[in-house]
Amino acid sequence: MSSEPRRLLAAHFFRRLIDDDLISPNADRHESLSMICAMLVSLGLFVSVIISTRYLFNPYLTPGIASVSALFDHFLFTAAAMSATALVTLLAWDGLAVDARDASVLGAMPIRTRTIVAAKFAALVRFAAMFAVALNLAPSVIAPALMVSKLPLSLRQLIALILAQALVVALASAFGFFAVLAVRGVLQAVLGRTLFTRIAPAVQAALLVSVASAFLLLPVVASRVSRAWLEPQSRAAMMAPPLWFVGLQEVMVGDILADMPRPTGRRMPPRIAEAEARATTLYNRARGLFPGLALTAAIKLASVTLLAIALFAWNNRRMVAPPPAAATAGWLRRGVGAAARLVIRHPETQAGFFFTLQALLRSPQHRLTIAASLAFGLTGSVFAVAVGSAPRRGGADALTAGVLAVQPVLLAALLMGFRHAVRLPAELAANWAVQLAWAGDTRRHVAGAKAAGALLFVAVPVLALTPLYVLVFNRQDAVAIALCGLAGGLAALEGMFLGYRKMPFACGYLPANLKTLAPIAFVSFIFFTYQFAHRERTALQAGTALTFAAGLAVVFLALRAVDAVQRRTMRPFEFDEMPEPPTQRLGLS
Amino acid sequence: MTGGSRNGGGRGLEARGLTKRYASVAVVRAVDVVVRPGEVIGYLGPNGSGKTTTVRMVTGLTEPSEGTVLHDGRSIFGDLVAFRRRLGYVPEEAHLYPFLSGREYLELVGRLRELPVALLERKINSLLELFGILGAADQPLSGYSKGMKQKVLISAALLHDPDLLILDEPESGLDVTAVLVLRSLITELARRGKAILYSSHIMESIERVCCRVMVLHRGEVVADDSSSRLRTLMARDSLEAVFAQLVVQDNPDRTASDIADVAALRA
Repeated sequence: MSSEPRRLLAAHFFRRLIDDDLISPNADRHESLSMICAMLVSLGLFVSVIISTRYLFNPYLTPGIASVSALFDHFLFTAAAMSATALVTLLAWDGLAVDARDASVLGAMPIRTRTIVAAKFAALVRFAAMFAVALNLAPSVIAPALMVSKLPLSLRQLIALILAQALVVALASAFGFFAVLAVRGVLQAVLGRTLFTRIAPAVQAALLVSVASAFLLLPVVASRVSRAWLEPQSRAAMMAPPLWFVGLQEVMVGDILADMPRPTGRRMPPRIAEAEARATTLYNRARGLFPGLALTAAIKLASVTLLAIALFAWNNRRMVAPPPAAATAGWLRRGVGAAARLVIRHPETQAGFFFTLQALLRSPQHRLTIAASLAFGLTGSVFAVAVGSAPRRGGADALTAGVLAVQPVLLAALLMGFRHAVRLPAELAANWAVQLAWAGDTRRHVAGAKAAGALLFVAVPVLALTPLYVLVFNRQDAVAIALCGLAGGLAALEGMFLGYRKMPFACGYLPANLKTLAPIAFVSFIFFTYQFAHRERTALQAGTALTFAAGLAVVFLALRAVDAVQRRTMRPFEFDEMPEPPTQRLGLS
Repeated sequence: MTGGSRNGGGRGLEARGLTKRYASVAVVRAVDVVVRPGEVIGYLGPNGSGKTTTVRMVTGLTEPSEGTVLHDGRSIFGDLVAFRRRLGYVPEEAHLYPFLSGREYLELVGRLRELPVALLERKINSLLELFGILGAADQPLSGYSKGMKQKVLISAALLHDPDLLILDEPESGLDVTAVLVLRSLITELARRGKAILYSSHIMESIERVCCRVMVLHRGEVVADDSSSRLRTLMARDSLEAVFAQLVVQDNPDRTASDIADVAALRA
């Protein structure tokens, strides 16, 4: 059979991966793709330049010091390439197999199943490769060149460093991609199509939270690489996949830096000479690990790749219709419905409440938004704990702002994710139903959505963290912290919805100006969470935590009153507000 | 459960001079649509004739470039929400929230329309049972067939007992039994005083349930009368023949033959 159908199908699948999974129907595909790629290239460029400053502005950069520092940076680039590619693959989770639409459209055509499967696989590889190249291009070329610019290297050695970096990050990206594909394949093969379809959304969300948290924590963990993980007896070295690839890189080109002739001691201050000797010793001690790590990288990459390909072929061997979707358990539906109706009386508020829960838990796009915000919150929590000193059990003196910041950081991240999620339409084409049925007043519907947000993103996290605080502090403090969290979370939720005048989940999405808003949101996030934790600690130490919680409750009620006053005057809004075309934004039309 | 008292004194829907232009191209030109309470108006036209654009204008989902849409003598755009409280609409495409079940979708629509919870539950259960989809009520809509989705849409349009029903290809995907039920339902609703605009391709349905027929061609109304008068005027024995004379330009048999010839072409 000619390769033409496979080529055409691969192009079609690739385009669908981009259109369906990354870009909303209203958006300009080329503009969005350019933006995503530009963001990735800029990120790589920015990180490369920032990292290179340590080498460029070091007046006494010696081969030993450069070798040890490079371990840290190689780990960072390798781990970033691996986790970013895994993240992109996870985002396209539903498109990682021949789906029901493919089966219904292509199943009737005289094309062999294996041609379709091969085309799908080729499209997936191209999709992952596109992002991997965009992310790794700058670090591969610029970082090695800048890192060794002050060392006397030949052009051939420099090219070798660049090629090795490019190859290693490409292999690490491939590992990230095939690992996700293999996990998905194993689950589908073991659980069967029906059960897998049911649990796949939860697995995707869990993996997304884990990988995104790992990605965000990279700068913290990378600093431990050379000092703790590359010890001869270290188990971490064999457990952390990015380190395998660091080992591979060191085997390929490590000797270029490590074996360079050392400068004579006469030109070097004694402090630097001492550091150089220590670094050389450290590097040489770790050197014995590199061949083993490189071999592990080769074996694991080959195994994961083969496993992923075999399972992809096995799971897609037949083009079958998807299993019927599972019905909601009747007792659960009735139970939740009855409980909520006891608290929420008005039908329209109930509509807002239930639709919010349903959209957040079941719509893939909304689940991803919440998973991303949870990952951000968990990462922030780890940072907060790392920044604060370790607390001693019991006693107000032991309370640190770092540990107390975990709750506000997590709540703030989740609430910011929720605030973003309500702007995303649950299903753009179905918005007409809400548009025709709503009563012309958003107040009750928004109140219902806020109630759902308060339940999912304030009450549940606070309850989940309370046992931790009991364990770290004591029961009395933990209750006070929970009350502060509840009141503070509700106040933050009210504050975030001040000025929100649309129907949650039922209006067209207009992207915000991220260049302005993202830094403001980030600075506000840091400022408010730190302030909250600091004041909470002061209140706990002074024994006035309940007063602090009451104060937050008053703020919440005041914000609620302001919101009620603001909403008395109804402002018209467009359900299907369209973004300005790019030419208009650029002043070209 | 009758809507007689609510529907007795209204003037129904009056759309005058409706025109819609997209980038200066008029897809609907000076169309008048009048539907009185108790009337069922059939709205016919070939693909791309402007039927759905007209329907979207009279539901307020699309604003006309020119013309007015009045309901009971008041412009619908003056208070769209008040108008939509009295409107039931079945769109041409069954776009629904795929992650909701049929029951959850109807609950969402009913709650947004502020129906009391007990009444809403009763109506939902009864409608789903009468349409024969109660067994699938708690399954996600993504797993529904086209006909099942259509039944959910029709149920959603009837939940609040509207005065005005606008049905755009409502029989799409329905089985024979459901189509028969739908036809009887439309007749019964009209008898109870509802104003109904019924857009369809199926001549038989239009002929059976509509008291008046409007034929749209290339964005303009080319006929507006009862189906019997149209048959008499055009000297044709069926509405299908009338429609063919009004809008079909080419000989269908010749076109069919040409298509078969193209399909049989070989290299």
